[in-house]
Amino acid sequence: MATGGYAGKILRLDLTARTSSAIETEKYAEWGGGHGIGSALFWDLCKDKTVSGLDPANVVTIMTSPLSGTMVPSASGRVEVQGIGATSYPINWFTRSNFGGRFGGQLKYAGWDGIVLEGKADKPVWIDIVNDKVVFRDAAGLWGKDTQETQKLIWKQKDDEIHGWTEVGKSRDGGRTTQKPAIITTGPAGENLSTLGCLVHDAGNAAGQGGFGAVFGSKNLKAISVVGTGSVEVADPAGLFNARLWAKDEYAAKPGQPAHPNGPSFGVDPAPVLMYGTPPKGAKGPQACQGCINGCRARFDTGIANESSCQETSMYKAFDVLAHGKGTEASFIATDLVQKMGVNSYELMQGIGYLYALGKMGVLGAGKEIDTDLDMSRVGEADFAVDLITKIAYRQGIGEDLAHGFVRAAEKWGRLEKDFAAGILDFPYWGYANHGYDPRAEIEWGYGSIMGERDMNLHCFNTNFWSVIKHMMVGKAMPVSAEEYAKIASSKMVPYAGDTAMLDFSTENIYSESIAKLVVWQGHYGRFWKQSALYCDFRWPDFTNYNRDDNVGITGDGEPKFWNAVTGQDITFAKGIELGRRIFNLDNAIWALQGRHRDIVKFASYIYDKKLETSLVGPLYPMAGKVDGKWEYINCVGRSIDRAGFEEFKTRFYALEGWDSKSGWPTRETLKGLDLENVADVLEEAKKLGVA
Amino acid sequence: MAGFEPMTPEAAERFVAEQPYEDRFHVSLVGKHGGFQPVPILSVAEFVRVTTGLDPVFSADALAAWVTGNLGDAELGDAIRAGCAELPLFQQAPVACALVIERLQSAEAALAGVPAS
Repeated sequence: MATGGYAGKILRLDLTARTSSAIETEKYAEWGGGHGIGSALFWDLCKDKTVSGLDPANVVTIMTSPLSGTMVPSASGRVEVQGIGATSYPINWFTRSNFGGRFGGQLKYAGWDGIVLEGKADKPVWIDIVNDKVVFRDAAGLWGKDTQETQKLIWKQKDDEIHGWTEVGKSRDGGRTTQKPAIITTGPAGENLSTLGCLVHDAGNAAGQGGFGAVFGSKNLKAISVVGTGSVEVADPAGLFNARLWAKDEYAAKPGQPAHPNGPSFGVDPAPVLMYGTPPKGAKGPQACQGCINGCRARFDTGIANESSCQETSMYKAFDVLAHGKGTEASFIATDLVQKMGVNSYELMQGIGYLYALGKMGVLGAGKEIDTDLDMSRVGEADFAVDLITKIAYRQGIGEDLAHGFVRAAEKWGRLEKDFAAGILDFPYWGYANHGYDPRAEIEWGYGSIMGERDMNLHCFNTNFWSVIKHMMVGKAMPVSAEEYAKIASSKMVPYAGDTAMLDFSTENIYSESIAKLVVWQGHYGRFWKQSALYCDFRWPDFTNYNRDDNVGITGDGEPKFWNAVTGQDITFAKGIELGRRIFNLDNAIWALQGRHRDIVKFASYIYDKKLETSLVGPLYPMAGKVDGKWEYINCVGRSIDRAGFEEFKTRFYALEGWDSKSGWPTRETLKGLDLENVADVLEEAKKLGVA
Repeated sequence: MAGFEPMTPEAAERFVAEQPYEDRFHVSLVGKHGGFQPVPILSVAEFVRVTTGLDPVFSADALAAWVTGNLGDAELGDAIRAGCAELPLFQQAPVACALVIERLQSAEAALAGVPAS
């Protein structure tokens, strides 16, 4: 039943049988939404959790949250994708990705909280959802098309059909809409089972990491289209409206108030995040996910690389600038092509750096140890980007190796250990590319990734790094000292509130129990508030907010206020963190079944053996920390991770989670405390239950 | 102008030579988000191209060490250290770049006088 933000049912699709059915959302509502429900569905429906990501037995969930399609700021447009991925090394972990746009809203308006994908179609199909009508359609005419062509063809087909325009309908909104269907599609890369394959929605919203484009391809699923004519039943509409006004009045910049530089957070000014070496010329307009207060994307009148944002727009910048001394059209073309081919730009960016290194070292090239017709003398030019991306998407030449991911390619070439040791293969955790926030400097990013299952992409504390950098860039003093930042942030970090040492990034502290608390908290906050409630990582959390005199951000108050207005529940911020703990425990149980053990939870060797020198990364990496007992923004460049120290950290992390310190597996006692004894039973049967 | 001593052709040849990848120097591009994006620099020509084309950050000390140790130009290394010592980080790149350009011109002049073999 639709209530409190929930549409009330989840669409279950059996691709093998081409049948659809409904799961009552209520059965899973205890998990909140998004990731929580996705993990619970996966646990119940994926019978063999040890299969590869490309196996037909893999189960994929695409979940919204109660907040999706509502007016909650920067929480309405995200969608969580889960299942066994195709990217991670050495094991294809059960993992997640996430994309923005308007798909989640349309899915809710169509009456669905999410989608479950099972099996494999015998021929390419796409799924056509119009409210409760679900049709498996032949995708022969779409297979081989890029992500934008695919969507345009579906839109044309839908426009040519009667799908509600002439129907009066019986729903409150009359069953009519002027909206285009929202479509999530795989591109040629995913069709060809390249593990760099993404899912793309509209021009530039992508579930990029995890290889879910390839997972779609393995299921012969080209796309899912959805359009809905219903609405979301909000428990307390006035409360939601007032909450939005409260957030604006209390935490947004006032008219005329000068913009403070900051990292991604609630209080930062809205603006597209474009990182090209030279911005595109021509008219530009902002583009935002549904309900967002930001608009981090942009559209240009050229139509090239529209809706691309952040890293996607800097993916080729380094080599473009190296070749031309400035950013050129080569960057726009490369960015545009990854969106159209559906290629993970994070992996590609670090991968190009790796290929460049191998080329310069005389290892890769025509007639070389790694023999390829890829013309390395053209790195930085548009034709090189087109050639490389095409090879990866269509598995041509060297693309056949790279389609398995750069780490597996290095392994095939017999270079994995030596190139990790040299630090030229910059994939520090689980075969995922370095995000740019090196684990040796930004500890919580690295630890959070390796204790999880992927490059975590949670900017919770990274925001402060950006705040310091951006103030330095414009020659302004930081509005808060390192000590004030530590006090403000830690005060919100229930149940560990008040332990300021959680924000001490000094080398002496990076293996401590306080840092273990930081990483645990970040994981639990992420699992519920960001990935289940689906608050956007670019705006939440908001620890420090420079629009206010006290510099105290909305986090802690804002998240539950909006959640409760929509759902009619009365949960606290701390309750959400606890729900995140429950979800993270279920995820770890799945990883244990897949082969996770403490002994394999380790970074690539260079993270331990090579210091992050200034000559490698730049002059500084500022984070809060203590020097001789006094807080300051310290420079975290110049260090590496100590193996023994990291093992101590892991022991502390496992202790805080209540997991077995020898194996890292969940224990019955901990699972029982989370009302997950059924999970403990399964682990015990598989001999993967931890010992208290 | 730093007023460097003229270069010998041999010193100039070493100064402009592309370095092995293992001996690269990195400058970092800083965007709105996404962390530092290191750009591997193998020669002074690449350094000048990237630094004049964008506004990267780098450690002046590390650059000084690179030009001294790898390119054999201690005089330039000292000038970079001295020129950047009192400057805020994000104002160092143009100063260091101007010094490198001046030295590159010296090197090119020295090499121009060398008859082709």
